[in-house]
Amino acid sequence: MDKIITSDTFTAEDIKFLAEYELITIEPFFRADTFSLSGIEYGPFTPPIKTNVPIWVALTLKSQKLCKIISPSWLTVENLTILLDSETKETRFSAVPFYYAEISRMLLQSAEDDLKSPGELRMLLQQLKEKRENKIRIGLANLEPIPHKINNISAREIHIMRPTFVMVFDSLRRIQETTLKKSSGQNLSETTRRTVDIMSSQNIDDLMDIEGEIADYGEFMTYD
Amino acid sequence: MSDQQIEEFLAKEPKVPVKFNHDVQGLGKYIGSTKSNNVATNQCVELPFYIAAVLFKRRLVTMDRPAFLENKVINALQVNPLNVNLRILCPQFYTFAIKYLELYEDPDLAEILIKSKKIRGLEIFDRAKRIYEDHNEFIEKLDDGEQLMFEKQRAICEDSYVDYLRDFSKRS
Repeated sequence: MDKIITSDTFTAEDIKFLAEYELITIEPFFRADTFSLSGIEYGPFTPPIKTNVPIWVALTLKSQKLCKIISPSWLTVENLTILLDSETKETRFSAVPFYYAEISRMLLQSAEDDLKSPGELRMLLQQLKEKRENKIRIGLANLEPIPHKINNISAREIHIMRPTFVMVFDSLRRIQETTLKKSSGQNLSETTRRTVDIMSSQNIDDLMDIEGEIADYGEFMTYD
Repeated sequence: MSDQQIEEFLAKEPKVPVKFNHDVQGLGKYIGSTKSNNVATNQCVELPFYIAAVLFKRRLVTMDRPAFLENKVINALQVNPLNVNLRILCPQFYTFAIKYLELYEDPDLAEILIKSKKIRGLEIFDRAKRIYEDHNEFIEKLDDGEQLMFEKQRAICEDSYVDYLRDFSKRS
């Protein structure tokens, strides 16, 4: 099979694709039996009874005017105001769903008429997004080369911060590693310590590489 | 070959000044010496880092800092990291500095490098978001790794800006 994936990380489209598999409640306008999609069964669909389907099914049905999408409990003006409040007051990220940016965007695009006060929702979501991005920026400014755990960060934000964070963090970690060895060899004299450093496991591979590269300059390599 | 591997490979290229602790016979022709085939004690030569590192490991030489890691540069990097043109100094500045620090441990230099890297990274993160601004002057000052970082960050920001415009045009 041909290699389809060319990027080494998730793209924005990949994240949107994954977000489309989140379940959402709909109120169908049609009658149908249970049907199976990707090995999971959905339905049965009986008009007044609400049921859960993936977002891509819901949006397809919506485009054919076959259902009404019930907005998720977090996508309301009240809840977003609370989230925005906690986002402003606390330094931590507030608890939003993992795919909140993608889901809210898809719903506001294709099912605007099923949401209450979409204009206000858009405004709140934009404010929430900007507050969270600002927190990411502060996080980057205070980045330390230690293991990090970030709670409640969403897929979209991971996607946005990935290139800079990964590359800066990798450099910081490698620079930090060079100083950490000091504690192990502090009592030794300087010359000995350098020798210890060179022979330590972290460096030996690199030096072996270098040695391999210039092994052809054989004459002086035997001098020892 | 990935970008990282190429970066690692090129970072071994810059020349560093070394001073020999011993007489070495038969090395002269490899380091470009015209006078004799032997290298004398206390002779100073400039060698590519990948050779110097091996000689240093065998304690044949003492290594000095290359010109682009001198105090003048380090001080500038400490005072105003954004104004230092790393591209002119060495296109693989940070990768080389890490390799150098692995041989010659120097906590003060490491601290300055960490601080400057963070400030430069933050500036890249900020500037990538500003779509309609001219960043050419800034990009010229970045080393290879940082330019790659800027490109990747920029691509993501452009994508999300296109999405934003599309949403906006649909609504109005």
